[in-house]
Amino acid sequence: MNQNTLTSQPKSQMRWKFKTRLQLWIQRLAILILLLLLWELLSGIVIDPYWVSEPSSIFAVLREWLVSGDLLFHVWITLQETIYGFVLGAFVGGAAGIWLGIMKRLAEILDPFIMAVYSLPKVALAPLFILWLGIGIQMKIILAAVIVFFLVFFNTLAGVRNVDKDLIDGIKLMGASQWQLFEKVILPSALTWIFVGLKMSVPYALIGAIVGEIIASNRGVGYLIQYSAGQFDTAGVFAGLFVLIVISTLLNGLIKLLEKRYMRWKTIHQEEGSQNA
Amino acid sequence: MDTLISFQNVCKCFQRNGNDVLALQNINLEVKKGEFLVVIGPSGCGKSTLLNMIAGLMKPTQGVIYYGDQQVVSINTKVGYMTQKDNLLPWRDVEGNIGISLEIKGLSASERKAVVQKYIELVGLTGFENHYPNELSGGMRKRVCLARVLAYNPETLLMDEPFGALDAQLRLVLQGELLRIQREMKKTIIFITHDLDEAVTLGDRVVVLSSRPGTIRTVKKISFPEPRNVFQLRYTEKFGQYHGELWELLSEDIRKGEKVV
Repeated sequence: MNQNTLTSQPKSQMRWKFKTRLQLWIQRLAILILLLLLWELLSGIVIDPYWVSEPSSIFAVLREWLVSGDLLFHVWITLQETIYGFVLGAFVGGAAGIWLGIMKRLAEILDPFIMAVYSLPKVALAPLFILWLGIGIQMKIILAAVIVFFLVFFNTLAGVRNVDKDLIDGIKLMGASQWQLFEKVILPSALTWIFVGLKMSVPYALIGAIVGEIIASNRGVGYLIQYSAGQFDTAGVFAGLFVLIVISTLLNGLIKLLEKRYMRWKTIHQEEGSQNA
Repeated sequence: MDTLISFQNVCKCFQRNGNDVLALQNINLEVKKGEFLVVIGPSGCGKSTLLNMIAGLMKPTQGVIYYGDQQVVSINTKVGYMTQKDNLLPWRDVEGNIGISLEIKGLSASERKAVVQKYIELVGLTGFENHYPNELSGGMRKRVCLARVLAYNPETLLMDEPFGALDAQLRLVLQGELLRIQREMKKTIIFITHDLDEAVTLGDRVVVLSSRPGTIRTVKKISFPEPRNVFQLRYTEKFGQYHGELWELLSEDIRKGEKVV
């Protein structure tokens, strides 16, 4: 029952933890450097740089893009497509999920139609969107949004449907109105599921944007990769891929941060568990 | 005293694997207003079903249940129900869980705070206001449930083994508090327990159910000089007598159960 034992740890233990974490990162960094060195050395001796380029050339391309301002311009385009697509898809998907989660009968009627559209590979819709919206940024936003929509929609639907019936009964017995029931039990309970859907769909929003750019565009990181490949500029392709890795890592980190903040009741337990392990 | 809840020829059947299982049979029972009614019986005899039907969460297969002068046909918001399973909202901290009924009633944050604080102190959870249910032990969660149902302040309390998970000392303390609140505010309480001591200590009457299908074996009236002192009551001669009589009634069923096994 002592609160302090729950949260604080002995200092020596913390220092020991910091040490092991530091070691972990040093080992990771060592592997990265080793791989880059091998790549640099073997390229040109074992494999023709035409196929795999080499880290120094890739770095040069990156620097050139950065200095010319191309990098920022294209990254910003891709980010906009990803974020707008994500927000649009998440909102519509979440709203539709909640609505159909509550309207059980309607959900049953619509089920085969939803599954039919869901089973369609969404990327195949790209030509249709180009036809409707042209090759501008809108088409990528819609493509990303459609992919995100289904992920968020199905997770929200499952969340609303899986609310513990005992929790609902408990609140009903206290005289809650339909709205209170929704606001105090159904929505917060579904929120964990919704969050899983949102988390999953961030990388998919990026996929939607990049695929859209590769299919048809004149800007964005996907375009950079596609253009470099067209010019047989292998270093440029790798540089583009590197930029993508950075973008998606940052996006995932952001989501993790948000989750930690807003899902405290869910995460405390897990964190404690992992600390003790 | 007026009758508040009455069971008239109530039977309850469940469907299990396609078979009808009779859980409760021929229940005729009148619960008086302001009464502390304890229900005991072998496990699986339908004690919880009884409470579920009063709350309107289950419908009797046969017979009717009246609450006041109305038949119970849907959710009965006049009762507060402390179920065996703690139905705390995992995303709300202790304070938020206890205060939820007050939010539903539309009380302001400051009004809620005062009431919530009072019950947190009562159940001994001071210092844990902002802990989430998954940070609490089973016994602490039970105490949050108790505080929540008391904060709701319903006319009738349905309690399904509320003190089962608590240690002996805290149990006595909370039994005393519950009895005091019940006497003071003239609440009607229907209380399920496995513990004969608890039944004798708290009950104005004790209903003894038989094993499945649950029927009412006896209703035993318990009387002690008021106010009852939960700590000293158990050393009186009368307490021993009641305990013995109830044990006799229960053990018949327990022996029967053993033979079957």
